[in-house]
Amino acid sequence: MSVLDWIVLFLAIVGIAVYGTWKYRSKQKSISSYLKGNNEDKWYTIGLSIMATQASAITFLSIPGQAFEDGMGFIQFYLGLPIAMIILSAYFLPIYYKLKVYTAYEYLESRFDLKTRLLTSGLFLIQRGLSTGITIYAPAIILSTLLHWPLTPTICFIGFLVILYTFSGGTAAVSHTQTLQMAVIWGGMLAAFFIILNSLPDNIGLPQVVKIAGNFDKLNIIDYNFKVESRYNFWSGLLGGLFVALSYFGTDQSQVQRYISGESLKQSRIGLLFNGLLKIPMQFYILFIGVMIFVFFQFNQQPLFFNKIEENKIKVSTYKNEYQAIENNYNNIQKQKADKIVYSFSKEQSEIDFTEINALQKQQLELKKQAKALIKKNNEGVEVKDTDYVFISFILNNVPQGLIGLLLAIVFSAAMSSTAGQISGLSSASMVDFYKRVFAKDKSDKHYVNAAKLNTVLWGVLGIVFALLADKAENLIQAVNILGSLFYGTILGIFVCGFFIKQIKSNAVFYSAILSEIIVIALFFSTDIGFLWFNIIGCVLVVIISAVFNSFFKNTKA
Amino acid sequence: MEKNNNKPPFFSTWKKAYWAVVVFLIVQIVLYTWISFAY
Repeated sequence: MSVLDWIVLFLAIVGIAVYGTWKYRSKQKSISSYLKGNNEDKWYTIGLSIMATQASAITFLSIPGQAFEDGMGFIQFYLGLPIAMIILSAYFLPIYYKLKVYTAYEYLESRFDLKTRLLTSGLFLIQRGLSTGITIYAPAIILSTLLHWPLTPTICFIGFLVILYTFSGGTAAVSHTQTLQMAVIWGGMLAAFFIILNSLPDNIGLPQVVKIAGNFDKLNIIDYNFKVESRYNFWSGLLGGLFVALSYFGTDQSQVQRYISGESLKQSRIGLLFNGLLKIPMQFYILFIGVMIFVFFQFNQQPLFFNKIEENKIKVSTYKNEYQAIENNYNNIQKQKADKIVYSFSKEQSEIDFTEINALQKQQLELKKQAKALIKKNNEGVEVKDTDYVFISFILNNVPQGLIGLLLAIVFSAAMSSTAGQISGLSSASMVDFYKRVFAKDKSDKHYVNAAKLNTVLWGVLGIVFALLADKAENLIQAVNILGSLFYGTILGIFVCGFFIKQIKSNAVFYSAILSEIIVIALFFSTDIGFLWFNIIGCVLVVIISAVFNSFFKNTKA
Repeated sequence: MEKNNNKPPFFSTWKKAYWAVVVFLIVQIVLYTWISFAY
C-alpha cells in the first residue's frame, strides 16, 4: 500500500470516528437523547442507518466472493425483505411509537409480563452479543492475513474506534456516522465498478460481460425449484427471507433502535420503506461486482488459490512440486481460455461458440479441486473455501494506488457502522430491560446515561473478546445468518402472538418460547433443513404451542 | 402528523406507498427471472 492509500484509509475511518465523537460529545444529557437521539432523525438518516447496520464488512468481503463462485442466487435471500418492511411499517411501528418504547422488548411487558420481556431481551443479548464478535473478527482475520497486520491489534483497533464514538455520542453519533460511512461505501463500490470495467480488454464492455457471466452460470439469479435442504431458492428466499427480515428488523434492538429514533412515525415509515425499495438493488450491485471480478479473471491471471498465506505454506512443503505442476497447468489453460474469449468477441458474430471455452473452464475447475485437496492434505485443519478472499485479493493486486485505500475503507466503514449499531442496541437492551427495570429503578436521568455509557463499553469490550476467541467459520456470512436463524424464529413468534393473537396469555407464550427454542436447536443438529426455514419453524412452533398451552395456564393479563 | 389515524393501516394514505414497494419487488423478480433464462 502506498502513502496515498494510507492517507485515504486513515481519513475515511479515523476521520469519521473522530468527527462522530467530537460532534456529539456533550449533547447526551438525558437517556432520551443518548438512546433515541432526542427523536430528531429524518427518514434518510433512518433509511441509511438501517442499511448500514445490516451491511457489515462480511457483506462486502463474502458476497462478491459468493457471486464469483456460485453466481447471483444469494439475492433470493432478500426477496421477502420489502414485504417485511410493509408489515413493520403498518403494524409494528405504530405500536412502538404509541408506547414510546426504548427497546422492542418493553412492548412485551405491557402485552404479556416481565418474564417474557426479559426472556426475549435475553435471547437477543446472547445472539447479538455473539454475532458482534463475528462482525469484528471476520474483516480483521482477512485483512490481517492479506496485509500481514497482526490480528489482535487489528481487532482492538476496529473495536476501540467504534466504542469511542458510540460511548461518547450514543444513538445520534451512531446514526450520523453511519450515513457518512455509507457514502464512503458507495463511493468505493462505484469506483470498483469502473475500475473493473476499465481493466477489461477493449472489445469487452458491459454487454459482453453479461454474456460471458451468463455462459459460466453466474447469472442464474432465480431458482424456482422447491427444495427444503437448499439454502437459497425463490421460495425459501420469499418465505424464509420474509420471516428473517420481520424478526431482524422488527424485533432486533440493533435495528429497532435505528427507526424509533425518528422525528415522527411518518419519518420512520419512510425510512423503512426506503430500505424496502433499495435493499435488493444494493445486494444485486454487490453481487454483480463479484460477477465482474469473475469476468476480469477470465482475461487476467487468476490465482489458483486466493488465500495467499495458505498457498505460500504449501509452496514450501513436501507437496511443493505437485502444487507447482498444477499451478503451471492452470496458468497455461488460463492463457488459452483468455485468448479464445478475446478472439471470439473480436469476430463480431451474433452467436459466440463457448464449447471450447467451457471445456477449458472445466479443466481449470478440476485443477483447482486438485490444488485444494493438496492444501488439505498438507494441513488437515485448513479452510479450503477461499471465496472470502476474492474481493480483497482483487483490490490489493489489481487496483491503482490511492483507490486501494478507498476500497479498503469500504470494509472498515462497514465493519464499524455495523458494529456500532449492534453495540448501541445491546447497550439499550441490557440497560433499559435489565438494569433500569430490574436492578436500579427510580434513579436520576444522569445515572441512567452513565449506566448506558458503561453498558456500551462493556458490550464493545465483550465483542472484542469474542472476536479474539472466534475460530474460522465455513463461510462467514452464513455463520452469522445461521446463528441468527436459530433464535430469530422464536423471538418473532413471541411478537406475532403479542401483535396478532389477542387470546394468548403470558405464561403460555413464555413456556412455549422455551420449548420451541429447544426443538429448533434439536432440529438444527439432527436434520439437514436449510437454515432459513428455522425462522418459520421457530415462529410457527411458538404460535401453535402457545395456543395449546393457553388452555392450561390461567393468567390475569390478556 | 399522521392522517386517517382512525382507519386500519393498510387502508390509510400509506396504501399507495406500500403498493409501490410491492410493484417494484415484482418488477425486480420479473427482471431477474428474465436474466436467469436469457443468459
